[in-house]
Amino acid sequence: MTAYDVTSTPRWRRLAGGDPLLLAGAFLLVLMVLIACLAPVLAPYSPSQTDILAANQGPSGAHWLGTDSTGRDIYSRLLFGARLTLLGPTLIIAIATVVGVALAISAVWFGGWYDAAVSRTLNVLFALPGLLVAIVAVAVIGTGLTAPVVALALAYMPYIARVLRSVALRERSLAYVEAGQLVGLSGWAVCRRHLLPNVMPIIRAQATLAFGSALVDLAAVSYLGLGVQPPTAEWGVMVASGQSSLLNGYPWESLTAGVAIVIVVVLVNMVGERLALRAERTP
Amino acid sequence: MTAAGTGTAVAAPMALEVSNLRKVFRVRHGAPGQDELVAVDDVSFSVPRSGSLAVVGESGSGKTTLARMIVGLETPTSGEILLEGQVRPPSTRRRDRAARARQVQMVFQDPYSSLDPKQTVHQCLDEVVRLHFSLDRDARAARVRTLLDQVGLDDRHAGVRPSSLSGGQRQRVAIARALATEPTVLILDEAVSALDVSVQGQVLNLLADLRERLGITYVFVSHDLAVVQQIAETTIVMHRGRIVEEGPTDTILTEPDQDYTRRLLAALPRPGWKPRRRRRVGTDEGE
Amino acid sequence: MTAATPVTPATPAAEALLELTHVSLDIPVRGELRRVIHDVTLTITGGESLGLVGESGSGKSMTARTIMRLIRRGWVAGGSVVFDGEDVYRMDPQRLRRLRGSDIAMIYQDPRAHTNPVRTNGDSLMEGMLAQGMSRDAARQRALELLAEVGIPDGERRMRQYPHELSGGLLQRIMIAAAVSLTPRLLLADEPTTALDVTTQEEVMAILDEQRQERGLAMLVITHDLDLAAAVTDRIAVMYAGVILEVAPSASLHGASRHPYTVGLLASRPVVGTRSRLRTIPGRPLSAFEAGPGCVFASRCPFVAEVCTAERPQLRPMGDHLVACHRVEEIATELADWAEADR
Repeated sequence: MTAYDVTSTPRWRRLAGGDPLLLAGAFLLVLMVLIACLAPVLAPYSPSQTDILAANQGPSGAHWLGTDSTGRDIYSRLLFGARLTLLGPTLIIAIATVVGVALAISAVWFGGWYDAAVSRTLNVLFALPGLLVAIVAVAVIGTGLTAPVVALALAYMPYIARVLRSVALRERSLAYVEAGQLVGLSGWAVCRRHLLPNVMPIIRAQATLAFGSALVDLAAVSYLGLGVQPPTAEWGVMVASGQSSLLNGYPWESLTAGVAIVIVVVLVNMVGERLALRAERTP
Repeated sequence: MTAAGTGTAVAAPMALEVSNLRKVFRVRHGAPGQDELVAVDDVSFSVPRSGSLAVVGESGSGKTTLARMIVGLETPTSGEILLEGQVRPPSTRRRDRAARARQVQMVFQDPYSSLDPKQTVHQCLDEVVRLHFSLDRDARAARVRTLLDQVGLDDRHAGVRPSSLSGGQRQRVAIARALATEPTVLILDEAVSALDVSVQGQVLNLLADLRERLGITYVFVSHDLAVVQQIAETTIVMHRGRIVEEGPTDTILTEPDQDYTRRLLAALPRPGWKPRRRRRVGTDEGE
Repeated sequence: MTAATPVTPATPAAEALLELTHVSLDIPVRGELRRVIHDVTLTITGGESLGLVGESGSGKSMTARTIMRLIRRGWVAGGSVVFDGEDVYRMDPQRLRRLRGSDIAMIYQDPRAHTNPVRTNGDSLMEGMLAQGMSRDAARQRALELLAEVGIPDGERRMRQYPHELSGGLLQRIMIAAAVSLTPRLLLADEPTTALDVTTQEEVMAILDEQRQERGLAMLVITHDLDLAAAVTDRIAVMYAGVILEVAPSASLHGASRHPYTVGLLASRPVVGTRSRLRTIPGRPLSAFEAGPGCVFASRCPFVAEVCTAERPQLRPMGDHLVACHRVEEIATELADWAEADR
């Protein structure tokens, strides 16, 4: 922009800067997302192609992770299943973060009765058990991705809003915020240009950590048969539908889907923890 | 001689006129009859254009509350503040906000919290210039360069964030930001108190130079009587929300009239000074 | 161990109570050791009061930590700290506890951060005496006497109160009472009045000085305020970027200081009653790790010469001062003119 712009370090480099664990975790997650996107190219079979003659096979050259009770290729279903499994929590966290951040920052900015009202509302929402609300929502709206996503977004929002409110409150008391008001910036401009960028590291960390839990919750909803419906490939669905085979001595479907969930959640939590640590350290 | 407190009779326009200003804070959970704290009590003074007034006092004297009311960060309970003879525009509309920002600016005490850590120095100044003046990009860059030059910084400092600057350099940036709106009055709230001694001297000199060059009006709020004389020709001494003494700085420093001012002066470490116990015990209760 | 280093100040032959010899300290920052103290050599004799004065980053507070061996894992301390003939670096944990608990008493800048907010002032005050084996009644009696001495007559009430119920000045007086209650031999006061108002500062400083003199204690006062330090000390050591640049008798600091930094520091501070442009030192205070191989002050010194950037000067006696400057003889008159110009 100007002649003396010296910030040439790429953004991702500054974000991860010098933290190998964070870098590795983020890299693996990006890889997973890529794999999910490229599932049609990478998967050797269609996720819905059944083959009764090849049902309940163990891992082999033809089927790397074996087949399920209707002879579908588990590896291909895992790849395709990653799409919905990752998309659901992404939507939940996106909604929860946008709403939570907007509520928290506006509460801190306006203070007074508005802040009190927001805090009360958040406290009420806290009392709602996310999974239960999701189940009720499914009962009302019907199965599929929409109902649990909306319900869980509502359940996760207060967590993000509460942490953010306390952080933003501290930030708001710093003189640079008042200085921004004094030079003539509007409240909106001060919040957007000064307050928000400075609480961004916390938002990133909180959102990442919540993503892990949201993924597990959503998989649980699917497992209960209330979310995405079989035969659609989704990891929670796969854990559920593999159950009968599991009892008959064919563990591959449930096991691989379960392990996939664990891996993603552990990675996400690790990245989240590292981000939270960095957010604490940087002023 | 300036006319602190003589307001109406003077023909020259006053940059800042404060009359009967009072600020009462409600204290939560205060005992009955003690749920109010009078931070500023019936304070009046005026500062002529290009004048410089020091407000001196210890913690709890109300000096910072006074400064915050003048810039509009606190609302007075009663009393009036006139800037260039006019009441401050009350609304938050864009035009009023901008007009207010050009009347009065403030430099805060702590240079570590008064700059946005995410903004480079250039972004910080450019934001203000862009808001107040319709200039193209080149003209803005030139203006930012001038501002930096005025406070003794240069292009090398423009591209960096506050974290790579020292306390003194940050305070220079904060001064440049305040000057960017070209305000009539600049409030300096303990603006050199947090700085190292060797840097404090530099910033005091800078402030004196800026006033000479720009003809800007200062209100210099400080607990430190020694630095006040470098900046202000008139001084008011505050104690528990009230003005206890006012007059030319030199007189206040050499022949103070009031006991409280004398006590402040006597407590100031200087060559050959020895600390003495003088207060009767039990008087510094409170807090 | 006795004083044997060539740089030991030309002070009275009295027995050294605390002796720092070429003390250095390195602290790991992001996996790299960073120097915060280059070289501190100091002696405090019994009953003597010494001021250690410096700006931020000079390493003055780190010197205090090193004396108390309040050193964290990974920090590397060099040189030697000897208290009353005993090497502090080699003390076993028990001896170290005694050093911190009774030989040396610390007074901090922020008494609130160093008191337990959920314990009464009385409990905090008596803690040390109880730990030294005094009975509860005796400790209580002693505490009340001490409070009266530091100007708190209603001690009974104050001891029942909690720290948050007291002003900073009162709390600092209680800290002083607690410090002397341990019958220490050295008081270590780290910016004891920086957080206080000037009138309270005078009060607290007077009490501290009084207590010290009455008990014949040695004291090390760490502060950024030269005039304040000079008022309650016998000698002053001026520290910059991890190095002691000058040690001078407090009485002859003004007008007789020999190091350009000391002179500049004194000139930077306005003197009440003389309004004139301040003579300032250019640039900002450097931290120890930023210093080059030469004199740590070279980058800001108006009298810098080639030798200054090449070789670090050692403290050497100049009259009754100790000065670490290569050019101290050559620049004596120039320096005096420089400081007086515009005044």
